[in-house]
Amino acid sequence: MNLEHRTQEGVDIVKLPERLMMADAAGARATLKDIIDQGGGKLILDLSATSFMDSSGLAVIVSALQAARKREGDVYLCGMSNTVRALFELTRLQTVFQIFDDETVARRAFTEATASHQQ
Amino acid sequence: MKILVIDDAADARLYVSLLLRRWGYEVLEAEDGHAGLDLLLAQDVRLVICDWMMPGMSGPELCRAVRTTDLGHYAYIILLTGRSDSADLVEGLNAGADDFVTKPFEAQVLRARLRVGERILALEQRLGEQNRDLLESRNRLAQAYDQIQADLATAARIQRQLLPTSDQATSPFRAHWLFLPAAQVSGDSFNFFELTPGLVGFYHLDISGHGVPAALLSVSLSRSLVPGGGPGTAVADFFDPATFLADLNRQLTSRDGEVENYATIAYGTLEKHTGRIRLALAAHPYPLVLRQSGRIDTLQQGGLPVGMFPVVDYQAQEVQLAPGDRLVLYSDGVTECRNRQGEAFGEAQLRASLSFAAQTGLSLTAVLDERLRDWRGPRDFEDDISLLVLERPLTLSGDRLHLRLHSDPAEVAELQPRLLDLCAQAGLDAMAAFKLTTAIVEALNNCIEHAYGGEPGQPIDLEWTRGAEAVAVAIHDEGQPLPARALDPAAPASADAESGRGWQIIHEWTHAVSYQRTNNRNVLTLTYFLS
Repeated sequence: MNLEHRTQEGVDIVKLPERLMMADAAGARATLKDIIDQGGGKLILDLSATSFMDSSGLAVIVSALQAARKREGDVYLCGMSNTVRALFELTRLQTVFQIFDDETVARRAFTEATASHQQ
Repeated sequence: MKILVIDDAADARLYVSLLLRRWGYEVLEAEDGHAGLDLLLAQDVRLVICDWMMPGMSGPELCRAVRTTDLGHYAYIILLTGRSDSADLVEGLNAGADDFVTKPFEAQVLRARLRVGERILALEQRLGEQNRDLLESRNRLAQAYDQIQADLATAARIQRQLLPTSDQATSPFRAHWLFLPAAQVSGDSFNFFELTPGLVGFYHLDISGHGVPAALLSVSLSRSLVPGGGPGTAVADFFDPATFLADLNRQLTSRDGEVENYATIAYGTLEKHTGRIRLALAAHPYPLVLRQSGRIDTLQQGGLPVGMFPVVDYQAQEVQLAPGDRLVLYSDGVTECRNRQGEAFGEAQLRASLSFAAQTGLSLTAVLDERLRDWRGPRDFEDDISLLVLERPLTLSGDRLHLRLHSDPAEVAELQPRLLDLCAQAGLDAMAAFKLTTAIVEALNNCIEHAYGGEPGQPIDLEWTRGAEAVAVAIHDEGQPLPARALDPAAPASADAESGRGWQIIHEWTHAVSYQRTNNRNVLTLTYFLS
């Protein structure tokens, strides 16, 4: 699946599509895994365009997190709508992911995390 | 004792009269048959000695006259005759004479025959008295019977007054019932009542036997089966069906182990907002659930009757009523109602009646009323017939939409915006629309994954029904039955688990979920209440 992707300051930033459902799941999962494998394991998922997600979409994001953590990286989420946020809270995923208002804040968080890690 | 002597010959009369007076009889005399008859009518004289040969009315003629006259008592007639032909004797006896004395007669013979006559008259007297006594008894019995019938009619009226008069307590749900007692009064009873504003308690009861004893127990139980009806009926006692039955059973069983009265009962609670019913059974016929689609589900049987054993555990089971579904409780008088040929109405006909009512939209209780009466014919019902139906209305002011999809994730993805639209049209706000849509999508995903094992192109039907109170979405598929664990609304063990959130979403983000499987089809119904 083609996902909007760019890299900045060693962090991969992917904009997830408007819908992330079962039909897209397999493709999205593979694409994200590739990005994580080829990158540094730090991934920001921008959900500002995503208005709908189901449990398969959640599973994609969780599998991305697991892949990232294997590379000692992480996945941050940003730009979540109220409705998608409700989905995360129902399934307690907000305890698993770091969630930020927008991409800028997320990138800064990665920078700080890297800095403290290096210290 | 009075004796009437009839003889046209004065000297003969005199001779017989003297004899009779000497023997202590009181003698009345008559010269001829007519005079004799007059005397018989005027006075209470029951013994008659009459000459055979007399001018005017002969002896036999007198006999015939006496026998055809109603004197109010028996008259014993002895004919005096010089004739001894057997032909004559036969004629005399046939005419009504009781005995003969041939002239000339020996006095002691006459006396002995008179005594026979007295014995017979005494017998007749006793019989008469017995008859009078019997008549009196019969009259008293008839009066007593009439009184009992009148009392029964009153008791039946009182009992009928204890039945619910309206289904206001279940609103917005509906309750319907059928009540056909066998012998005016009934051992069957049922009721429903509000426990809290959102919770209704209901029961259906069948007491062993029928007639007055069963009716009496039924009436006294009715009081303890209503919260606030008497001691030990606090509202809290009614919330858990299983413990409620256990308590009731304890109340009914006598300490010495004698089974005086027992009953089968179904007791349950209904949550109005969700349609969730919790039900416990004590050997009651297993209830049926008539689904809106026309399918009939059977609940489990179970439990021992109340009033038989002092300590019994009861189990509660749950069933969900979706809009249009009906719970049917009935007594065994329905299935065991026999026609003229002795055949029982049976469960098959009961189910057929339910289906018929569902298809035609006719009232279920009206259909059964007619069918049971037809089946039974003109005779009274042998056992009480009663039926209680709890219905979750499918509000008619609804929009209905039927969509045919296939087991393709792409089709589901395409459907998603349309579902959001439908939700918005139904008046759901953005969050509610998102929740319901997500739940529906999850249910469709589940169809694809579990029912069809991922196989594409298989049929899925989605029925969207929007009523005044709720939206109901029924998803039909022809795949494998859902395993029990798939219906588990519990969240996956760890938050970052790979999968398993689907059912949690479905259950948490709708107000009611029901699943039925019949005829190799799954039907999953999601209900969302409009506030």
